[in-house]
Amino acid sequence: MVRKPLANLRPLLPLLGLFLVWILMPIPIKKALRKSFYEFQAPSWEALSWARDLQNFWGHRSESHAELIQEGRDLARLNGAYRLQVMENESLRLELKRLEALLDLPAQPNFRYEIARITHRQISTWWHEMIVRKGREDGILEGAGVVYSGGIVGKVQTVHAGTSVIRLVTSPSFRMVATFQGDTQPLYIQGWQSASMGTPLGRIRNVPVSVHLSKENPGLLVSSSLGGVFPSGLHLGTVDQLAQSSNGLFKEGPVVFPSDLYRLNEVAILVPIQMNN
Amino acid sequence: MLLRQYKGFLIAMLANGFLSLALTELNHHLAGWSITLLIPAIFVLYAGLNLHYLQGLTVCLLTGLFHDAALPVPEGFFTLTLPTLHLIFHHFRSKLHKKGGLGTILLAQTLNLGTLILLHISLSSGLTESIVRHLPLILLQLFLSQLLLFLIGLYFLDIQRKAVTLTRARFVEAKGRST
Repeated sequence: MVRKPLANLRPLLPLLGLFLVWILMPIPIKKALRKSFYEFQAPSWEALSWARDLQNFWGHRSESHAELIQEGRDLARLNGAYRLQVMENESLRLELKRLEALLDLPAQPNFRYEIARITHRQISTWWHEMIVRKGREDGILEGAGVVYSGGIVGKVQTVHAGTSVIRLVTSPSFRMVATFQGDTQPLYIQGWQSASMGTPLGRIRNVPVSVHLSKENPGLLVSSSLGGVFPSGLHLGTVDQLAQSSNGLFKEGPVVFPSDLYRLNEVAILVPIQMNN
Repeated sequence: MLLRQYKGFLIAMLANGFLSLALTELNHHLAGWSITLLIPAIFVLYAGLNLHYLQGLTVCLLTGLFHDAALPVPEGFFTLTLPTLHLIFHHFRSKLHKKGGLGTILLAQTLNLGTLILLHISLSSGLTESIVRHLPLILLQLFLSQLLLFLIGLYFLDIQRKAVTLTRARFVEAKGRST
């Protein structure tokens, strides 16, 4: 049976209608729609993450007593070392406070560390994100710094009710101020899309021409408190080659971030503590 | 009565949700190698071949909205592409077998590749350097996505058909395009 041309076009009409509605839809409504659908499926990601944690738990349950005793002993040694560092940090903090009062300097920003488990990672050529199991309900703020035991992870990009999206330090839209360890000259760090598999990379700019680095003598980058997002001195990455920038005034080069950055399971979000509290 | 009428729709939505979650988990583990696999065509297979046109379109529209909310893609990318893929599947459904087959998987592979190329083109505007540097990794991701679609495409379609059969829902007879 030959179909009428109009009948052939009938399925196209709802699709054309959908395109038209989408084009004409105001941006705030589109954003609200995206947010609603995100919030709707966020609990399923959290459940996935809890299931992974449970799997780990049962995995550890099957470990022998000898292994657990050995791990407990290692942790006790680590705790002892950390306890000494905490005492040292406390005395340094009091010293800093005393000097700030003496010289009438503005106080350094203080942070509370909110530990958050990662529900899932989204890393490819185009996006560098992680979603964590803490959100607005836990006092997380947009733009807050995110760190882990190996250094800087990134910044909080979007905060939802129970989850937050973290923009990684390797994302091209990520920018921060850093310094070389033992130096005060502020440098500019930007994320860089990695063309190789699993290598977290960034770019460093505004390096003075007098700085010379090589594979034998790499530069260690640490965070600076200038942006007010991160405390100073947190490990960022290493630089072992620099080239003249296009304007000829500075040098620039690739930054290699720690390789475990793309395999994290837990991070700490820096929540600023209000000074009057 | 109403529930029976919409069983196919509900099963397609649930199946898409579970597959989406499984893909999220897979990509979570592949993130260590900077790899993300995307198989948008698989989400329209069942809806395009077995559901009423408007029901299938709604499934694809909702799945697209969920995808757009979950991934940092341009606004409305999957919301518009999934219903378009659905229309193409629906157009060819009289020539394809409802249970799948080589024709179905070839069409799914072509449409998936086309959608991913379109996505890469739309995202490449944000690149700060030539795309040539990233081509090997992009091609690897495309190849792995196509391979995954080839491996699980028909299986996923079959699961949904079996789930509907188990719940005794009525299939739409694919006599041409029933709208």
